[in-house]
Amino acid sequence: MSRSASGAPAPADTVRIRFQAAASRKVAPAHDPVDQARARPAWPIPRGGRARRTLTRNPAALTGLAFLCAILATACLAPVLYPDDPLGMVGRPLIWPGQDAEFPLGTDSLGRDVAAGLVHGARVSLLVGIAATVVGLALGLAVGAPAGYFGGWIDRVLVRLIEIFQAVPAFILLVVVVAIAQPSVTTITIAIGLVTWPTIARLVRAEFRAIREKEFVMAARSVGYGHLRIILREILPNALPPIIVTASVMVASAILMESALAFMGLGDPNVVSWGSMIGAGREHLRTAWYLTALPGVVIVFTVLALNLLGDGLNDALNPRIAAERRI
Amino acid sequence: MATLSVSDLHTHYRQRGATLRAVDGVSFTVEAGETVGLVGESGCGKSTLGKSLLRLIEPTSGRIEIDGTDMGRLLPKALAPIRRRLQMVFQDPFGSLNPRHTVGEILTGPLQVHGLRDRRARQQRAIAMLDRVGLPAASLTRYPHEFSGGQRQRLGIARALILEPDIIVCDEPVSALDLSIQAQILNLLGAAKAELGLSYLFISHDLSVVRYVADRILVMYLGRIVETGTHQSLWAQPRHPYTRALIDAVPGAGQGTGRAHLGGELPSARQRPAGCRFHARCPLATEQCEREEPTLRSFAPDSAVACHHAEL
Amino acid sequence: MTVLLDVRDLSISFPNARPVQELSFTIEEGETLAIVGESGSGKSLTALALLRLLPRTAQMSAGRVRFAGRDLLALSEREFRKLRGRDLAMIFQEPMTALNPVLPIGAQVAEVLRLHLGLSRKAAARRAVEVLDLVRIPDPARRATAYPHQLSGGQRQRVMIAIAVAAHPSLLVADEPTTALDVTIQAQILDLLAQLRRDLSMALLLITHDLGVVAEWADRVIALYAGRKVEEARPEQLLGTPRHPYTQGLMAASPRQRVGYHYTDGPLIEIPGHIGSAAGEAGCPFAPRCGFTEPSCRTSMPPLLAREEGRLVACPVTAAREISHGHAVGL
Repeated sequence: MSRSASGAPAPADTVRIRFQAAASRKVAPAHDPVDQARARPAWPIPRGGRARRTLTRNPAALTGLAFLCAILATACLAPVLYPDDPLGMVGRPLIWPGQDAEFPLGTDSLGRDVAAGLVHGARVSLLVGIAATVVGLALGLAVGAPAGYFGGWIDRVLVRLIEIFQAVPAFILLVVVVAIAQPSVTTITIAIGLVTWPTIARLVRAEFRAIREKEFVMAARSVGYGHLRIILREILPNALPPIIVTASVMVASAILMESALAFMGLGDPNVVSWGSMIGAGREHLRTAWYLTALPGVVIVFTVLALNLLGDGLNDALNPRIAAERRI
Repeated sequence: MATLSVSDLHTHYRQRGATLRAVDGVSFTVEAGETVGLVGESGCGKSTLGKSLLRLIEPTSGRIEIDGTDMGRLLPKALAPIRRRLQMVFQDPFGSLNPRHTVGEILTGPLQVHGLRDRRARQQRAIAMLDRVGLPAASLTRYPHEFSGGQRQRLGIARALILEPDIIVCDEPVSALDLSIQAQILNLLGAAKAELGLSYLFISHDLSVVRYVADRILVMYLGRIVETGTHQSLWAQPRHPYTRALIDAVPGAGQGTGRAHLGGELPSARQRPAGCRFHARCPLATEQCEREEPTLRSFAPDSAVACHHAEL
Repeated sequence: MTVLLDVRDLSISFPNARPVQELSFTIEEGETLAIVGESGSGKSLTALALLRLLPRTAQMSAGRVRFAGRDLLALSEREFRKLRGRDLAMIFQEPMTALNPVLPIGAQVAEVLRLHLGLSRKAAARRAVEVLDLVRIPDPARRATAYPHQLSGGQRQRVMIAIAVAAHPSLLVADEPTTALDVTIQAQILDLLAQLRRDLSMALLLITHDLGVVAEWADRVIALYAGRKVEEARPEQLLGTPRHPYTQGLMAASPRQRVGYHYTDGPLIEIPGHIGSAAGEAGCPFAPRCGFTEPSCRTSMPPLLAREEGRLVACPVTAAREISHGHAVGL
């Protein structure tokens, strides 16, 4: 064996003797993969095109998406629409919506513009919702991926860690963390991420455990890929669909958590959020119910929109499940 | 000189407190340029054996040597250059290619990991390899689901060949394919071997396929090799009753001559019978077979059988 | 011999494909007819269509489906349900998914007996043990209480067969009954089916991709390619002297049919390309892979021509060649 005796890898550009003549002579003509794709039913792997088509044919998901885009646009345009501090007293207190053209949605008990509050509140609520989800995703992936991939004692240790966090009711843990750390947008975001990551970690772990057993992971190991590359490049892309779906719902629950904190007076006192508006309007529930109802409606619709989008993504990214549901 | 040499390999699993001896003391060699066929029924441990060789499943004990270098003792870093000399073609052409990678990524990834830095050179090698296995260069940007089963198996072979290995473990490479495609893939493997001087360990449950491709055959039953022989001798004169039963069970082989088929089923490797592993299903079993486990006895070069009653 | 099942011009179509086209065949009482084909040939859909088990998106049309003197096309869903499992039964490739995982196997057999034969609970349980014994499940009385996951693949397939034959059907449709099993177990199961066929005098429609199975266990065989019948013959005819370019190619490509041929003797003969679309284009579906095409092959499906006794071939080209050469081409 001359080749194995030399041992050294052949240089990159050496092309060894071609055996193509014998191998492919007969197969060549019928082998245009484009033809192939047309002829065979598509293998149910979500690809950009198919997933997008499924999503754009789903009216509920589109409605959710449109509503979220509107909220997002409003949040971005807040400094333009209402350049003044939304916490500033600008008018007579407790003007009902529609009474005064200057304050279309009225004012609260301190004379603050409710419309300005809702618009600026959207910034805080969405920021906290998305950022907290990112924190939760990062932590969840960091714990769930190695637990699911390596198994064994690493899995046992990490699962214990997840269980410790899950043993305490999430919201109580959140209140404790925020109370200790002084409420600010940053601490609230981190705290919400800290109590929601175990959900992601469990999901990621389950996905990784299942995909680890697939033959293409075996194949990746056989050609010498390292663990990190297998985790990030081989398994993660295949585990993403359910994670994305869960993330969209997690944004909704993070918004709810932030609102609940603010309602309890544990929000960031320097910014207005939907939750803090409800909290402030609580005392006037009987006389000026619009103060709680308006931010409440906005929260409900945002959360609903995120859930509709999550459902739509689920159908689009997990075509098999979607197909079963249709039957 | 032996290219691959395996001695006393064991791979055991712990399963619900019991030990499953999937591979239970297997020794063999694969010489340079040789195709060794490994046949047995599902559950006999042949697939575990193949994966243990590449350490995709960690063997429990034993030696795996490539040209005298013991693979079993190497740390992952030192394993890399050895591993590229031993590659694998998998059974499932659908499951063994990552659905989210393009063919280009699938073929150039191994080169990148094994230190080929230049992106263009990797690309060129991938295109040359596609050409060799009979696929157009345009396949590079396509995803596995755009290909038929046979084409995907070509991709699997391309991935195994791109690192220029010496030995390829083919784990049921044509079992999932239609008959008319099987011949294409077998011919492709044959051509690759002829021109690159490869060796194959060809694992299959299909005796007719192994009969066509293998120079030497190992018959495995419940974690052990029960008979080895050359392709001239084994089919003509099987010595082990299990080998005989396997050959008889090939449908169409007897053309309905009313021969007796083997009774019973493969027992679980967890509750391995005492004595000869095959005695419960064996037509020749005697009391000796229940007590003593037969060892492989060599009766000709490249031929050995593990049966008390085999006529040597 | 009387004709048990008579199918004329069966076609199955999906919104974007026509996987079975104008398929006609008959099965006589007590006969084993094999349908062979590769994946995508439409053989499994044909079996499902006979039992009205096609997926909802599928459309089926047929000129005639007569079974034991009854017109199956005219039966209501209710009447068909009575027939299915009683006179017309089916077994599948994967016994694990076809069995109910939370019921003991004895109960699953008994259920069929109560449903179709109207036996009492007690009598059905007793008969179930007998049926399990009939399919040679060892120690059937004790085994009847076992759950599917406690059995091996071969045993599970035996249970599937027990459920199928419990009501003594006159036709058993077996869709790849041994594909998931090892060769030694495969032989046992096929032997069992042959035995049951004799003992219960039932006909068997065997769907398979395995020519070896056909050779040993079928009385007659139909080769399907992309939804079309390309050849019909007795097994020894089809395997010995195939007449259609596709069946000729299959025999030549199969290492099993060329016993003793070794890679050192040369490469196997390949059929180039792969099974094409089933979209229902005009012409012979095998034409793109065929070495003998004529212009007419691409415009219309060649008719099935009667050749020697009991044989039909859908290829005018090989027929003409054989007459001029006096022997089969391609081999």
